[in-house]
Formats: sequence, structure tokens, C-alpha cells
Amino acid sequence: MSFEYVQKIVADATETKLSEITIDSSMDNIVGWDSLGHLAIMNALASKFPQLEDDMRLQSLASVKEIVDLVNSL
Amino acid sequence: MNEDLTIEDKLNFEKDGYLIKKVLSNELCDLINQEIHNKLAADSEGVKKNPSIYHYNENPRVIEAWKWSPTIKQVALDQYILSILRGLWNAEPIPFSTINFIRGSEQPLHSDYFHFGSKPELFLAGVWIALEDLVPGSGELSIVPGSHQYPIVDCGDLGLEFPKSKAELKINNSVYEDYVRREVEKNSGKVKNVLLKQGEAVIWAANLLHGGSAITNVEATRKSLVVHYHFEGCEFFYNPNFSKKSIGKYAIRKLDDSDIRGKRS
Repeated sequence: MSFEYVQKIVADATETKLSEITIDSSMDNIVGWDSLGHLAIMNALASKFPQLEDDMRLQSLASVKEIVDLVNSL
Repeated sequence: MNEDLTIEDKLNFEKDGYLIKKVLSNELCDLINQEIHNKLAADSEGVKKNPSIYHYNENPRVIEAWKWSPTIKQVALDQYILSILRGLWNAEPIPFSTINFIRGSEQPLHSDYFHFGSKPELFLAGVWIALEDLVPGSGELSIVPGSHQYPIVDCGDLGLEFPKSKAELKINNSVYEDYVRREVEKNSGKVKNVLLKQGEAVIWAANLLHGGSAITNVEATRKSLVVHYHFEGCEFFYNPNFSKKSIGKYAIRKLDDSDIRGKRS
């Protein structure tokens, strides 16, 4: 469940096709995952999980796997 | 006293929010144009461009060319430009962004400060350089003299939510552009098209409204380069488009990888 949720967030935030977001996707291989896309990802996560709103870990998330791991830990 | 700035320069900048100076030689401009041309000819797909949400026509904007062009990096670090900025802001400039245009962007009036904020506020400069003699109809740079004194706004001031996707970001941007149009009208702002000669630059204050006018001469190019600078001594830098200062929420921006001067210890 977490991966599908994160996949949608990253796809919307980076304007990437859903099918192109995999567990191996990251800032390094998703063109739209620039600074704006990253901020959008952070906002989407904080909107769904308010406890993350001021969590500094959001800023350092650089891959889908890291986001999934974070969401699974909540 | 800064020899590169007269008292008249400073007074005009304070009043109008911009200055025009000749900053580069024609030869250097020609070299940059050739580099951009060669790079796009060799690898157009691989060249980094502005996100599509900031495209208003088919003309791409090349971003971060300083990362592969020593010439463009040299311009961002040009001592004459830095001296002018030091004189106007009384602080050490930090170049952090370059954008190259080949043709006019037709971007609606906006302030860079909606994207690049600082604390204390307004420690941001734009240096927009004509790399060729600009011709009428090429989608000239438009500015609104005096608009640097309009209010600073962020996402919260416009009643917007933090964008969670590029689509929402585009909507927020459109709301901002509508707000700018109303502000210009409310303040009876005069939009001025600037026709520069090769090597001349508009140096603008943080919140000066500017944009690309409509292209009426489709054959004309508008080869140009804009460099953005923050300044040393700021507490932090933030993205107002993703911030709500009224509730203390700032989307912090780090300049570590974008400081064109290189890593600082």
C-alpha cells in the first residue's frame, strides 16, 4: 500500500507518468524531481501525515525507497 | 566610494528599482552565444531547461549552463558586476542561478522574489544581460519601474495552499500572475520595454516586476542571460511560493550545490 501511495505522490509532484515511478526512482533519475518537485513531495507527505510537518527528515528524502521507508515507520 | 557606481546610479536604483550598465564585451557575448548554440546542436535533449510550468511558449530556457560553460560561470563571477552589486546591497553577492534565453519567453510580469526569498528580506538581485543587439518585436524584456516597492507576497498572502504537485504549482503561479496584473493597475504602474545593446545589462532590485513582452517578430531572437544573486550575511533563504510567513512557515532553500562560487567551508 505504501509504495502505491508514494508512487502517486511522486508522479504528481514531478509530472512523471505513474508507470515510470519505481521503487528505484530517485532525484538522480527522475527529471521532474527538481527543487520544486521536492517541495511538492514534502507538502503532499505533510498534508497526509501532519506529524511530518516540521520533520527535518522530509528535506533529505531523495528516493522513492526512502519515502516508503519513512511512511512505513509512522 | 564604489567607483563603478555614481551617486546618481544609487538614487535612480532606489527610485526605479533598476539600473542599466554595459557589463560584457561584444566578443564575450558572441562566445556565449556560440557555446549555447553548439551545446543545443550536440545534445538538445540533455541540456537542462526550465520546468514546463514556467514555459509560456515553445522557446526553451537553458538553466544552470554555468555548470558546463566556464564562460558563463566567468560572467556570473565577473568582478565588475559583483562590484556594482556590492555597492547597491552593501553585501557580498552569491551567484546561484543562470538562465539563457534564445528567444523571448513571453512570461507574464512577475517578481523573482516570489521564488527566491531571503531573511532579512530583499537580498536578491537579477542581472539580465543582452547577448545581442535586441530588436523590437523580439519579445523584449518588460519592466515596471518603481514596482520593487510593491508588497512582498507569499503563498499564504494570496490565500493559497502549499503546492503538492506541479499542477498545483502552476495554478498557484497563475493566481500570482493575476495578482501582479491587479497590483500594476492599482498602482498605475507603467510597463516599459527595454531594448538593450549587446553586452548591456538591466540590474534589478529583488522585487522588481519584469517579464517577456509579446513576440511580434517571429524571426527575431532574444539571446540573453540572466544571473541571480543572493547575498552573504542572510540568516536563510526560502521559497515564498511554498511559504506562509504569517504563520512562520518557510520552505528553506539551501545554496550549497547552487553557489556558483563553489563549495564554501
